[in-house]
Amino acid sequence: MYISLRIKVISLLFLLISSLALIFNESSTSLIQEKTREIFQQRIELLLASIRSYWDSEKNMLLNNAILYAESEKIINYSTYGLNNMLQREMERLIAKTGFYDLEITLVNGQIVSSNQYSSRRGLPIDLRDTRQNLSWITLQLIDGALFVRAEVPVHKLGEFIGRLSLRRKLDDTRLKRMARNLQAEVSMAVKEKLVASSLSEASRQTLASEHFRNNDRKEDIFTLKTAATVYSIGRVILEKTVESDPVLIYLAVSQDKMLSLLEEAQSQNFSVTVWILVATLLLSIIFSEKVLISRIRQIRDGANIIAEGDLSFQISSVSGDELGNLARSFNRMASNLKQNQDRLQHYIDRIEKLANYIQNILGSLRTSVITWNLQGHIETANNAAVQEFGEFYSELEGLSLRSFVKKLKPQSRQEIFDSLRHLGDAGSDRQFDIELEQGEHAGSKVLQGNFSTLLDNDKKPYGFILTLTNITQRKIIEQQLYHADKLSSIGQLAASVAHEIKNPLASIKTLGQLLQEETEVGDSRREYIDVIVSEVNRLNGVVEQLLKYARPEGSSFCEIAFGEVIKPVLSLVHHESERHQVELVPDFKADLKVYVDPEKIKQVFLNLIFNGVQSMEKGGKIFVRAFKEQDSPWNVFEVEDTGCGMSEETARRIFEPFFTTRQRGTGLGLAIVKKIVDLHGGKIEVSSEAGRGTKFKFYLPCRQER
Amino acid sequence: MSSVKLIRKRLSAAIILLLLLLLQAAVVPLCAATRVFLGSRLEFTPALLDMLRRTLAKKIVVNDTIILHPLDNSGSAREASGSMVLLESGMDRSFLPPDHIEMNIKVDLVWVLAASLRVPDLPAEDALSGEQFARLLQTLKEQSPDRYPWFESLSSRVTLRNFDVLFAEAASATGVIVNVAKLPFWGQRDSIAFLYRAIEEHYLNPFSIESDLSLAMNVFAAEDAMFVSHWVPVEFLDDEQLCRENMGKVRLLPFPVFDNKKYLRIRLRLYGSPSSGLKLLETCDTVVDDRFIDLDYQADTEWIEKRSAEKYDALIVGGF
Repeated sequence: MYISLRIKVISLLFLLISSLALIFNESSTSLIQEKTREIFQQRIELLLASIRSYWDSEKNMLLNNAILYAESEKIINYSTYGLNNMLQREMERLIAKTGFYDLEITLVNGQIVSSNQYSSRRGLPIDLRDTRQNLSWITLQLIDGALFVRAEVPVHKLGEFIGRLSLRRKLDDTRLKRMARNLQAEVSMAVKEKLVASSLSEASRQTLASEHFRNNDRKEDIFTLKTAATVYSIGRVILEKTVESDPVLIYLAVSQDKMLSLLEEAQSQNFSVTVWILVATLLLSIIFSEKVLISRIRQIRDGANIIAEGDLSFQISSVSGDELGNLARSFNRMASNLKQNQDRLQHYIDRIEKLANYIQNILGSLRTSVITWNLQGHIETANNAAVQEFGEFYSELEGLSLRSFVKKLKPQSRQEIFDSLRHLGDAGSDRQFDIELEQGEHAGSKVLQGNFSTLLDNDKKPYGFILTLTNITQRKIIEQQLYHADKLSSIGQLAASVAHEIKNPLASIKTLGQLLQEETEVGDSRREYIDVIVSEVNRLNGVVEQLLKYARPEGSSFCEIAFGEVIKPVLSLVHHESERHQVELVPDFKADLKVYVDPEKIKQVFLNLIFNGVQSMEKGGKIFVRAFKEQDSPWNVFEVEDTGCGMSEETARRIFEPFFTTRQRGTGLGLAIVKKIVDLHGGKIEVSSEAGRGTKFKFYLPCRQER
Repeated sequence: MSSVKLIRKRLSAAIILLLLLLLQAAVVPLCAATRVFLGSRLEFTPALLDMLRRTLAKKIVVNDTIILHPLDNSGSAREASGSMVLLESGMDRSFLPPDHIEMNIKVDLVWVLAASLRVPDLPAEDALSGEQFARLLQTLKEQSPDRYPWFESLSSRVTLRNFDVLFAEAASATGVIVNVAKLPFWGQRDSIAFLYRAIEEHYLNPFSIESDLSLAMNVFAAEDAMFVSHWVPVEFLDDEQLCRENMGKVRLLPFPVFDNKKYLRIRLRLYGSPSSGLKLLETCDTVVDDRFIDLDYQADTEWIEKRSAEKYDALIVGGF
């Protein structure tokens, strides 16, 4: 899987710093928790310490109030003068809404008046000898499960001791709730392992009672109490003892909710800070990786790309002193070395290319086809001449197997090739052979002369073999033409000499025959014989004339002329003959087609060809006369096509030979003259025929500029 | 649509206004009060004011509450303008507003000994003799030796004057303090000696010397004393139910000294503006009633000013 360096660097930095941030978060959270709990514990300890002073102030307040009440003029007077009901009412009024439980006066005579009781009662008279009667004190009393704090002070009237006043406060839930408000902690009091009052809710109180007092082994002064609603940290301290010497324990409960909430808040804030740090880290990582690392690596990468694209002159400009700087320096060095090597290589390449081009040019310029085979029998290279030579036979030469190559050859040629290969490598063997490829039904064969030679590698070991071929088709044709021309020339010369020899006697015979005609009557039976003689002599003279025309070289008069001017007299001339044979002449040409010909000779060509066609159609037909210029070709093309009986292949092959005729009264010189005139014009003539469907003569004459 | 809303709004405002007016009409009588200023020598305790108000309400018809305001200075007198004034007979009437005339309404207050019905063996007679009174006190003292059955407002100079007039009237006292130490307290001819000896005998609460009428009535009401002297409207004497409603289970007696069967009395007369539209139910007449001894404001005032301090000192110092 591809992961970019930037991602790796960012991920690494992010992981590193996020780990640090998380560790910091965890440690700071732990520290905060620890410190918060420590502070919380200290707060409870402080509360436990302060509860005593708070209790003292409570007692002092109670005592002060008792003293104040004891000094009340009404209290004193009512007490003194036996106005007990007034006294009771006054005491009731005094402590109304003060939160005190009751106010009580015990008079010297033992009469007791209490704010809680409408009627006074009588107790034991106060022992005036007891000096303690003049003292004030505070005691804790457990009465019927309720805890009271009682301040007792002496009452004097004008310095005379008249009784003792006691002020009591019941330490009930209400009072403890007030204490709780002042102390900002829940307060509970227990005596004899029984909860006597508490500011806690009923459920929490029951939990405290059940969880704490049930476990008598619990000795810690500070412990945790979990209730349904909240978790308390509870500090316990012995406040003091009741008058029955039972210790009064006070429990200060501080809800951990706020602390936990603070901790949660701190944790949340820590987490937020951590997240921000992580975000900042991520951004810084991106910036750092971009600025410090990636941009420089990108510079090196871009440099590498530039070098890869071929610009070896590239050098990294800003090079620092760190590892990346070293890398950049190495890169620059590498680029310099590459540049030098490239220059050297380019030099060699240029030389090799020149050499290769030279060799290629040689091979390409050769008219000889050069084909190399590897030892596996597949063509590896073929020069231009080979490609051109075999292009019409094979779509692709390279890679062509020997077996496929020889498939297109004539059997004799295949045999020649295999024989030559078989003897390849024989000492003194430089066997030459001809191979012949059929170019088409009417195109004849292509003849190539070649030989095989062994292709050696640098170690002079056989690497393959080379076939060199030279196209000798033209040479073969020329050789045949030469042979043919030589043959025609011999015939012509013979015919000419024969014609000269014959012409004179024929003139004598004709003259004598004409004399005989003149001397013989028309009705004479010999006259018919004489006429035949004269006629046949005339015909022989015609043949002789044609022989002489064929054999005798005549001067030519070429000119540029519109084809219409050439062909129209011909068509007029053959008009009657064609009608007689019910042959329709179909001209198909542009009359203004410019041709550069000897008009008289070309007229002779068309005359001979049309007559030839007319005579081949005894039952009528059509003769098409066409002339046109081939597109992008230097040739003007002329066609004379008939719908006659056609001819065989053998006839077609020999049709232009002198004295070759298929007709009984033909001289066999008409088409030979045609070919001679076309050759005279530097053109060529072709015949194509199909028995029963007609014959088409097609000859090409060069345009003027090509001549 | 908007016009419908406007009409609704106006209707709502009109209804609210109407309700406010109705509420005002209903509230005004509740808040209204008829103020009557009081001018007298007496110290009007809340209990006495209440009794007086009830009595006055039966004599005049007003649609609203009567509020009594004791006059204690000239400033208060000025405030009396436009209000009725209940003024003790004999007092100077010059401070009254010019349009104020006497309304033929009088309220008589009598000075009685209130005896708690809890007193055992309280005779059913309308008056006690001094001896009977002493026996009752002795019985009560024996029952509760630490307590005092009788309480008086002896710091009140009016109370001292009452005792003085009573003794003078009843026994034709000479006003000279005579040492009659050998006589029982109830046999003393001098009011101060009488009181002093009653204190010495622990019948009369010594705290009485420092007490005013208000405290004395409170002590009695708290049942810390079975007897106390104070003022009540004269109607209470003859209307037991009225008495019980206002003072609880008490019997009102002429102060038991010698053969006294009379009550000291002061008369308050109502003055007001004729345009006040007050409807009066009683016509003031001057019928002589021998049950009462009418106090003379001028003489009493003079005594109070000249003799009361001396008498009070004697009460404290004793030496009879």
